[in-house]
Amino acid sequence: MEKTGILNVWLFGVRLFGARLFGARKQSFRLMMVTILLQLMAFNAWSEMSSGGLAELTAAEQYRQYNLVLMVAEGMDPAFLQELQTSGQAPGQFSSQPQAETDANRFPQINVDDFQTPLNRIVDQDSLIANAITVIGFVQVNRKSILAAVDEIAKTQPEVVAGVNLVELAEDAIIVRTALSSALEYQGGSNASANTAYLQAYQAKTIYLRNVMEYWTFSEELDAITDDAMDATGGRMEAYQRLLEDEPAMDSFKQHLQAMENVYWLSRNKKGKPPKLPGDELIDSEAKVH
Amino acid sequence: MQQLFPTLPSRRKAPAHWVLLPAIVLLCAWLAGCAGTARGTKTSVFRETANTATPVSILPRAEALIVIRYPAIISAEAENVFYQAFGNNAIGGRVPIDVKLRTDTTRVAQAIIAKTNYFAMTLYRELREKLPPDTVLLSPHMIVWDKENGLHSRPLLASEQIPSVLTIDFNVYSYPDIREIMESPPLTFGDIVTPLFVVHSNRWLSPTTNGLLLSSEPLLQSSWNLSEQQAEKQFTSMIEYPANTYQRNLDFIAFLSTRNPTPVQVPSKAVKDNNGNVLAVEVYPLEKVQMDPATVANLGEDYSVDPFQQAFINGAADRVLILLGSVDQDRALFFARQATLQRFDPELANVFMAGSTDESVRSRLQLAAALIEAEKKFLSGQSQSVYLGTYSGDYGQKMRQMVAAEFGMLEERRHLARVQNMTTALAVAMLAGSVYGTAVSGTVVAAALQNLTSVLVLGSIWSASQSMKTRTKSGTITEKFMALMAPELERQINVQVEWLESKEKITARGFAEFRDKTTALYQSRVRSLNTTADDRCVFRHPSIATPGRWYGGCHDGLAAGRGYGLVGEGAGASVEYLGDAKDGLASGTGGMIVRQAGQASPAYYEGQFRNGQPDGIVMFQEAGSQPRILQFKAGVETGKASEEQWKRLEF
Repeated sequence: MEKTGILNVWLFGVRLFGARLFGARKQSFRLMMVTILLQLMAFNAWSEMSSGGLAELTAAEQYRQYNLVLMVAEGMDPAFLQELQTSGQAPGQFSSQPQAETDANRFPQINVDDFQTPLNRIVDQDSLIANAITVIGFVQVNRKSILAAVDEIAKTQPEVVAGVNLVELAEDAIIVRTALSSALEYQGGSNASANTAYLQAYQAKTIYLRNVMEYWTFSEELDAITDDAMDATGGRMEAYQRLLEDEPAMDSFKQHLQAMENVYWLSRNKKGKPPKLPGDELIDSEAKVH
Repeated sequence: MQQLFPTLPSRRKAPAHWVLLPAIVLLCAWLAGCAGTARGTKTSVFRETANTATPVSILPRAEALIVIRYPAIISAEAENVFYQAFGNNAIGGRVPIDVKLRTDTTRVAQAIIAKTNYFAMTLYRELREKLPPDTVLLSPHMIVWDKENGLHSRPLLASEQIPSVLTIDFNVYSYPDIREIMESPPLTFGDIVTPLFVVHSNRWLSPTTNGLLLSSEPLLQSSWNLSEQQAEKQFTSMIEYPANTYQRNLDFIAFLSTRNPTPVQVPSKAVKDNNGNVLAVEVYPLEKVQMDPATVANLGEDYSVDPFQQAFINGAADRVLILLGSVDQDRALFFARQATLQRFDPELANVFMAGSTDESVRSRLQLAAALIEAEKKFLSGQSQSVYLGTYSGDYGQKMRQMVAAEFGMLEERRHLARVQNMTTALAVAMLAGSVYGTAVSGTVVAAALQNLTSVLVLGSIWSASQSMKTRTKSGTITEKFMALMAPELERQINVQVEWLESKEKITARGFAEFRDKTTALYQSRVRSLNTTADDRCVFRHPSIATPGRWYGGCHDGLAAGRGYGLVGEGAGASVEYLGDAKDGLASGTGGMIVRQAGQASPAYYEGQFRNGQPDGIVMFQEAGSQPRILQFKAGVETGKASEEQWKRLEF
């Protein structure tokens, strides 16, 4: 299955909010996504947000970063985020205003390695949480602008989009989300019991993302098996069809049709002999046999 | 004074003779059996009633939307039984015993199978072009016979294993006696086609008709019985699960294999009926559709325009599309999905009944849906291959030539029939004229008849004799035509048998390998479910003592939460329920199919239930009337209610 980046990020995003199972097929779903994207294109908020630190990255890496932060932020309740910030678990802080207006030169990138390093995950959880929450906060405030930026790359450089491995991207997002969840769960905090539901909701979205990612790989393999099976069966059928078409039985068929013409001729009660036709002698013989 | 003009009868006398002449012609028709001209209707009832506007948009999905079933080939051991059944259960009249034994009858039977193969492709192409890709599947059947099951049919491809919203049974038909070719019985020959058409679905889509939505008039009784049988078998397969799955015979084969079926009062309405909401089977009248003669005449060389599409398929396909757009597709597919899941993931099939929203269920269902979709795609490819082989290939080319040749022959007979009719009419008129003599005057004919002499009376006898000769000649042409066409017909059938049997083997082998691989992939990827559903839980109904079976949520061995329950008793009464339950009884929102012993049609309740009985706002359906929204209290109707208050069952 071909997975062009932007569509699938959106596929993921919309599915996150409950696209009905069995309801929509991939193609029509993507058409719907294209429609949504076109609508988003009309709202080009890119000018409000600078790519800041991303400017030095390649388009592919920018595209990857945008999608990664979107995936990481998905499912984080704003109230929970606010709670984390006020409880001091987010020293990085973020503004409730679009980041572009407060700090146009900084786009909070995610370095996945930070979330995989045991030292960070175990010892420096505060920094880990702070960084992640800064990113999520930034995404929640600037979501539309980020989507517009993603759209712009998809529109102007489709080859870049095609080169991005969505499965790897989803894997990175899952690593970040899992590390963040573990850290938050471990740290608890003053309002731990109230935050449990928020955390569970965030974790549920992580599982959802994992399942969607697994579905992608499953679909790719399934499509390959299906195409192979169809090629194998179809190819054999075509060979058989050619065998039929090459059969020289057409002559006999034509003879019977010509014999029919003789019947018409005779039935018109014309005088004289009927024209000599190849199938003439068949008239009586066939009639006797059958 | 010499009369300048012959004496004309007074106007006062004229009416007697104007009445007399048509009477003579009618008499001639009755006595001499004036030859028919084998004409058909140029506008099928479907074209008259179909709404040609764009049909309701139809969402593509993992399942198929339509499966077209048709008799494609006859197995060697079933041939004689099929020909016999074809003669015994003729549509359009009783076939004399001597005709049943004629070789011609066999040829007609063979011809309708050969032509069904061909004409079914037009229906397939039309629907395929109007619906999303891979949603229309072909299911060619082989007619088989064995001692245990008698004459029946089995599908050659696995298309019917894919859940589909609607299933269409299609074939063409001809009356067995070829001597009647020019008369009124149904005919598929040359430019005339008599289609037989049945549309059915899952019983939950139309519970009061057991899922039967539309049927050709001659097949109505047998299709009704078949749908009833299907509902019973599906009920049994669930209450006694695991049980053998049921394969519905082709409706046409079921019709042929049933002699003197017990008549049943089938709730029916005409296709043209404006009262669309009445719960009944739409009846499609038997019609001989006449295709455009000019197109048929050149069919052998140019088939860019399909005359059958213009004459019948356009309208029939529109009717099907409108039906498809108007039905609740999830309702139609729910149980077929469950049955399909049961095949490769029984655990998931049970949880599916329980309507769990757990993420582990959702993700596993998503993988299962992809698996079904892959199978559908594979079978869609096979359907396309059948279409190309049958319509575009050698087979289709010869069928078109054959149809064009038939048309030429039919036109010849029509010509002879017109000659015969004129000769016969004239002969009888002359005979009558000789009898009435001078009494007949006042018209051109009468003027001619006025001069009749006894010699001309002899002439009229000669004329009648010529008429009979013409008739005989006309009949001979048909017989000779059939004899001439027989080897080609036989060859076409053999080719199709060989081709489809080979296709079945190749496809089956390919499909088996494919299914093995995809199932292995599925099993290697699925994660365990975080929830379970019992399929051995007890479901009850207050009026049935025997405990039933429940698939879904369970508490202390009794149905609880969402699920599907069945309960029945020996006398034939049964209850099926989908929805919420408590303490083993229907309680909450649900839908219930209730079959009373001895009643042809079940009743359906959908809405609120308590303690196993309708209680609250409920939509009630019974065959022959419109659905009603009613207020119930402990199973007793207490009055009407508004639709806004009613809560439907979500499938």
